[in-house]
Amino acid sequence: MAFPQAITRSWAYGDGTGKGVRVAVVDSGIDAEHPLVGGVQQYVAIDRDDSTESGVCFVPGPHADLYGHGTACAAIIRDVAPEVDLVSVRVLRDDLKGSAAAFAYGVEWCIEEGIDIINLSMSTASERWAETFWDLVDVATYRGVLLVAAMNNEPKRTIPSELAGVFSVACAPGTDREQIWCNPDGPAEWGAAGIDVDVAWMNGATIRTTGNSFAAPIITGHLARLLATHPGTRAWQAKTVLAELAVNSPANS
Amino acid sequence: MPNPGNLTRQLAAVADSLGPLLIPIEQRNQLVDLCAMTRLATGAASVSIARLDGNALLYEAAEGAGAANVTGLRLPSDRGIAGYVANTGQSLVVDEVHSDPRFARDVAERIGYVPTSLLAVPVVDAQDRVLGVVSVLDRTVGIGDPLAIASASGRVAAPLLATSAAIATLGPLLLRAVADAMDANETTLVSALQRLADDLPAEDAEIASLASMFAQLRALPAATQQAVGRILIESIALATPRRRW
Repeated sequence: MAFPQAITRSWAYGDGTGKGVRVAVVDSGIDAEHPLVGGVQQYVAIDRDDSTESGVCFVPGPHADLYGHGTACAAIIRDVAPEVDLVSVRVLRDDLKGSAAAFAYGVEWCIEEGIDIINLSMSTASERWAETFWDLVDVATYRGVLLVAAMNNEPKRTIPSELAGVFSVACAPGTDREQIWCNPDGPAEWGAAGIDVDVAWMNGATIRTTGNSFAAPIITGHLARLLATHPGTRAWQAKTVLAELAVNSPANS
Repeated sequence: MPNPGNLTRQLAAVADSLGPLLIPIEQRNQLVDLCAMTRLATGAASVSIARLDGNALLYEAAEGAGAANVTGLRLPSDRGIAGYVANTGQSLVVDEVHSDPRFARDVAERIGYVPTSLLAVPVVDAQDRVLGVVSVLDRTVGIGDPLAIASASGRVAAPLLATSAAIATLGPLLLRAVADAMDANETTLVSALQRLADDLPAEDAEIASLASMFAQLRALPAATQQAVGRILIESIALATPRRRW
């Protein structure tokens, strides 16, 4: 579709800071002290609790990043949209065993909390979780919560990333975080830098790594810029704008 | 007077640590061969396969640099790159491990080889439960996408690790059942095994439940036992892909 006027970056992103947009990183926690993270505004950790009906409990207050992965994602978001409010939703713990249930509770918490954008750089291949995530994605979509999900690095089912309602992300060439790609044919609908990229990690360090996990936060950052400039933007509107700004958009050829 | 239940419980604890070492040699050789093939295909310095055992990664097989020191190593799964992979079921590719202070450098130095890069993929079962991790250290130019190669190795390793886990679980579990039955003054193991099945986490409960069924079977007349045994063997044979060689 060709618009009568081009959608420009300055119109879409304003000052490009993402100021005030609440972005949740559903992951291994965030190290707020990492120089590339620049602070975390809110925390919740999902822990195992056999005394509750759900088998989990929600623990507010500062927590550590157990593996470095969440810190990596948070620092990328901070780099793209420096003034977002970061919310660390920790769903990984040794005794949770990377349970898809914990991911789902994390996403559900974000929706109930009214988070603006959820970054989920992990997924499950287990089909029995498809319906749960399908429901969550639909609820998020109609409540105006944008859900960004990394595709699995391996070619297998990747839930919820493969669902059309999310912003599914895979690696694209280069290391420039300003460049995004659009692949409307899916299932990886969006592309961003994620190959041989330097990311923040545990204890203030950085590592060089490769993975769709690190491409998704770039899309999250771009969406935060858009949402700060145009509050209330819905997923379908945001997709239209990002597609126009993508480096492979006909508008940019 | 010695408490037989208590003694048996001690025996169960010994079996728990000894069990993983007694997994059939042939099975371990297959895992080592798989490491060797993966190493060749990825041009890596070293490849290892670890099984997730509770909250630890038990390195069942390795091939290449430092392999002798890696095999048998038991490391907590709440840390490190392999720990992340084991706890999320997501693969992770790190090209420069040196700058990662969380990477257990002390462990790497103890095993005599410090890698620069590490690629780790999860080994999962049909329900996407993580059984272990395949780690590829310092890959070079191989015959294709190293992530795809490591993933394929993970799929081959899955049934081997599942069997290892079952063997490692069964011995101590039976001994615990004996101890519990003694404490409860029971003369058969059926109830004790069923109680264990109710208490244990899902992955071990399946084996306990199966053991309880076999305990019930053993209480039936010999002819019935033989008939059920034959039906089971025939059913398993039917469900097993046939070898063509």
